[in-house]
Amino acid sequence: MAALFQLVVSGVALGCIYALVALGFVLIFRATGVLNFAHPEFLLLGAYLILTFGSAGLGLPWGLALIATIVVTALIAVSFNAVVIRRMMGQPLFAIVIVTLGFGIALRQIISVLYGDAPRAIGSPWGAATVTVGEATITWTNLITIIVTVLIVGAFLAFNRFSAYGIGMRAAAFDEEAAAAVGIPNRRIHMLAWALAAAIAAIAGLLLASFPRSAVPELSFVALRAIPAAVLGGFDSVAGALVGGMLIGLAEVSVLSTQSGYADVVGTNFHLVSAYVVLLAVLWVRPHGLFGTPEIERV
Amino acid sequence: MLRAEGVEVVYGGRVVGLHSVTLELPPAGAVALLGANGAGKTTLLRALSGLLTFHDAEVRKGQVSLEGESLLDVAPEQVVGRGVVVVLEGRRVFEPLTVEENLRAAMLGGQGRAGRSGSMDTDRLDWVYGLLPPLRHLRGRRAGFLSGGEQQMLAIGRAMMTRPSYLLLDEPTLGLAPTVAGPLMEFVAGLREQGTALLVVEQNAGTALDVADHGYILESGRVVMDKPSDALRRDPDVMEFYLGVGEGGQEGSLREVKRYRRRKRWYS
Ligand SMILES: Nc1ncnc2c1ncn2[C@@H]1O[C@H](COP(=O)(O)OP(=O)(O)OP(=O)(O)O)[C@@H](O)[C@H]1O
Ligand SMILES: [Mg+2]
Repeated sequence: MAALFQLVVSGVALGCIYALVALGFVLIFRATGVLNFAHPEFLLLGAYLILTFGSAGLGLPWGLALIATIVVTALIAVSFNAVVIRRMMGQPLFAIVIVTLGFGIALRQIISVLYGDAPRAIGSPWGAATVTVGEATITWTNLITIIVTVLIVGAFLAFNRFSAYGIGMRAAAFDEEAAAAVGIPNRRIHMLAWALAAAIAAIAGLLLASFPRSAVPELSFVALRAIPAAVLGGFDSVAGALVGGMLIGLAEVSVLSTQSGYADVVGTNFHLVSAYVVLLAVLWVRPHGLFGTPEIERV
Repeated sequence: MLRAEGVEVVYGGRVVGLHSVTLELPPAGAVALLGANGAGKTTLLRALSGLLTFHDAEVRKGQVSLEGESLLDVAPEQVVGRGVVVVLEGRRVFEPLTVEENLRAAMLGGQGRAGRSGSMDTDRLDWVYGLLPPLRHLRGRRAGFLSGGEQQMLAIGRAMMTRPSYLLLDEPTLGLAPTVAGPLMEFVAGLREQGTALLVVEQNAGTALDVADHGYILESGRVVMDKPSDALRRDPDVMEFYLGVGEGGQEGSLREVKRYRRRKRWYS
């Protein structure tokens, strides 16, 4: 029972990180029509910039280092949009996707040159602490991941539903010309979407690199597994991204914990592809994802 | 004064949508813009409102100006900020959003935004609900579920949220039953009392000329006639082609009719 509980908690926590990644991915896509394959590298920025700003680098207090990390990640994303993506608007989605992929690879290379490839502890203040619930032992990292995700998602949903910019963003996502025609500033909306998505990714990156994991360039591959979560949810649906992320996190952790028993059948790395298995199963039944609308590519 | 002067619009660098079109909309005035399918009416509204960029088009010659200042190279949302707003052809409401969200979306832009507080925003919403009371009852409804007439009302209300000085309407009665279209145009005419100038685009001249003081007729991207509404209403050619009087519903060209009449006169 305790083992199962621990399993569920770590599945949910991983699902939370996937959900945060998928949320940012969907946010940019809905607001700007761009599939941002550099998104996993925004998580890396979160995990590594904290090394520069925190005790391992400039020595800022944790809170300040956190804010600096989030702000700088958002600035990098906004500049990428302003300098590269905005100029490509109107070109085929395919071309834009390739450019985001390239930007992601460049970011990863730069990070690996600047920080090295060896795992580095990011020094989260809660460290390796755990809490005991009954007989189950849960890491603070998992607990904080879940709490932070609930807060971020709650704040985002409130923003999306009630704030002027949230409403404007949904309006522009539906019909950009009609939005511009009533004065909605599309450029600023795009900028905001990139900034928010990158800020959320930076936080997800921090959580992903916290104990027992550490900052390594390969974390971006973990984040890449969240993209099936976005597809699973339907690409253009916020709720779908969250549910998709959770499903894939749970699937991955349960496969990880049980696959040793079937190692001769599925091998030992089956959890890495479990996301795609879930994805295929869902798309088989619902080609537009769990919550998606048909025909999402914009013209 | 909102003014287009000798405007030539080119789509995709090749297709000419307008040839040297000149049109004036005086403050608090009302102008009708008439023309058949493909005449260039929508293109002219796009040129006036900065929306050509959405169609890979540009003003290649001529000038578009508001109170003497050029509107070329002004972003669409800034055109709205200066008081010019267009109600697009086909209503184009934000379907997944509620009626009230559609209206609130338009609060991000509009005239005199600087320093406006939240309470002013509520004022604006109340003002539009006051202008169009049915919207208040529909406020929680998803816009995509409204009837055509309700959607057109919402599209106009949404434009009014920006407190425009110049309201441009692209075929507002398209696809609406006469019983719905009539009251809607009466409402539009009433907006002049708010000090809003109107540019009404229609294919059928009847409704538009009732609202307007002055009318322009576009044909193949050119203004072929430009007269006070009364004069247009008395013109037999206009009657025939744009009021559907004495017609068999045939397509035709005003210029050809004129030549034909003139020739007939010469021969008689
Ligand atoms: N997005 C576009 N790309 C290329 N050409 C266009 C585009 N929009 C309009 N045109 C062309 O410009 C000309 C004028 O079209 P416009 O839509 O302005 O006419 P309209 O008078 O509004 O017609 P309707 O009554 O059918 O709405 C047409 O020849 C049309 O084919
Ligand atoms: Mg048109």
